[in-house]
Amino acid sequence: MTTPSRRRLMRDFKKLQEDPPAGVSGAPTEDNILAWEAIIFGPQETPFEDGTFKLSLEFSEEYPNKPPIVKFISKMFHPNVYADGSICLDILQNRWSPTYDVAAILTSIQSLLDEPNPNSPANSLAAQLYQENRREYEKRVQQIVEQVNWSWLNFGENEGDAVMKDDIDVEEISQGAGGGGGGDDADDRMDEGASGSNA
Amino acid sequence: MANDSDENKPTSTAAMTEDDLLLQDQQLKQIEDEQKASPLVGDKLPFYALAGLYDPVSAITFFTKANELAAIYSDIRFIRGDGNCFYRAVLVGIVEILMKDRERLIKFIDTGREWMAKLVKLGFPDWTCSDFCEFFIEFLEKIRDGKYTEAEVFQNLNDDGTANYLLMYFRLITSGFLKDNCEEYAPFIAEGMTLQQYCETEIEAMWKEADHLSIMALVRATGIRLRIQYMDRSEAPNGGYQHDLPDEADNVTPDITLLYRPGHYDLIYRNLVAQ
Repeated sequence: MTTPSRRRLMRDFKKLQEDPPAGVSGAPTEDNILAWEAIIFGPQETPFEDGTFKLSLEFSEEYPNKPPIVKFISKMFHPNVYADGSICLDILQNRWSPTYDVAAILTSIQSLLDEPNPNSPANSLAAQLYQENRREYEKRVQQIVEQVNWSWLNFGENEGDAVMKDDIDVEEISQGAGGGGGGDDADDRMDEGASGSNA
Repeated sequence: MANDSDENKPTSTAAMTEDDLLLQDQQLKQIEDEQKASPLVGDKLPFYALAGLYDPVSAITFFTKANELAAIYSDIRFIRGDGNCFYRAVLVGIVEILMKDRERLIKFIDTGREWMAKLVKLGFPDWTCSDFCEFFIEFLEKIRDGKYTEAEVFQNLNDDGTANYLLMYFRLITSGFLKDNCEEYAPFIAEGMTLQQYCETEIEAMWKEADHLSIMALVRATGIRLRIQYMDRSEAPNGGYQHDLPDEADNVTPDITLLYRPGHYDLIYRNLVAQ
């Protein structure tokens, strides 16, 4: 039997494909509709510009009544992102509403990138630099952007990258990001979304 | 929790370390597990089960009142106390009525469709809200078409995923009703909050308890006649033991009666013989 959460996630996915918001994309992993991977592009004219950040979304059978657990898999330097990639964002916690869908979650996180809330710091250094030394903050962010983008192309060489800890199929994704075909369906979808939003 | 006094305006999450968050998560999980030990919707029990919850000595007021009420009410369905109890009690009460009243069922399905269009017009997130409405309408259509036995209906009402999906329809129309009648209801919103914000944070979010305003809104949005029976006189808005909505002077038999105990609603049934 399809549970309401799975049914809803299929609809979220369909909606995301038919009407993709700019600069974000996401898809369930091949074998589990409750586990999604997503990509957020750093908004233009912000220090995050050109960054391609990967996230994981972990849904439960109680979605959409409960929010998914969303984490950055890519490295991140941001006042509201913890060291393990967890995100401190009100709509993912106490202000969650079942009327939000995956597209709304991803676009909210995308906005959070350039509109941090330094009053609820998850990364105190990032929060401090953001408030006291914006120039240094932006430099650190740009370093992360470079590292993250580099890791998409050169997986094996970036041992410190958080992506390496996960058991996702590194080879297929690096192939896709490098422009080569041959990924499976899920990755192809991801790539289409990515290039579409970039254009 | 708040140990970082350097922050000028610490919010609840402001001073939290990851350990704090983890601890909070564990505590919330524990509360949730305790809640989940009881069903979302209990079986119909004889009303005197209520008196059994109170100690005749230490809780004499409630014990006495529960026994008094047992002369008027024959049955009670305990509803899980998870912040959704008001909406859930109304959901169950309405579904029970609709299972017995085909004409009303068909009308309620039509109203559901009207609400779906109205919510979109009111600016609710288009497809997610329509999805909740469609889910609710499909559920009623299955009842209409005889695809569910009564037992299956209650199975659905006791399945977290399904039941809360259905319940969300009621939260949405509650919110929709207030937004649609913004001018009338905005003055009742506490200062510092707009009606829009109130609807989003207090009604559209799950696990938030209903207050008088949302109760009135849901009653009017669904067109039901509701009686709330209080255990003591301090809680009722009219200072009595019971409160009828939408209209106090109506004095007609309510469709649904809820029992209010501080912070919680259960569904109760009048003793038909005693009437």
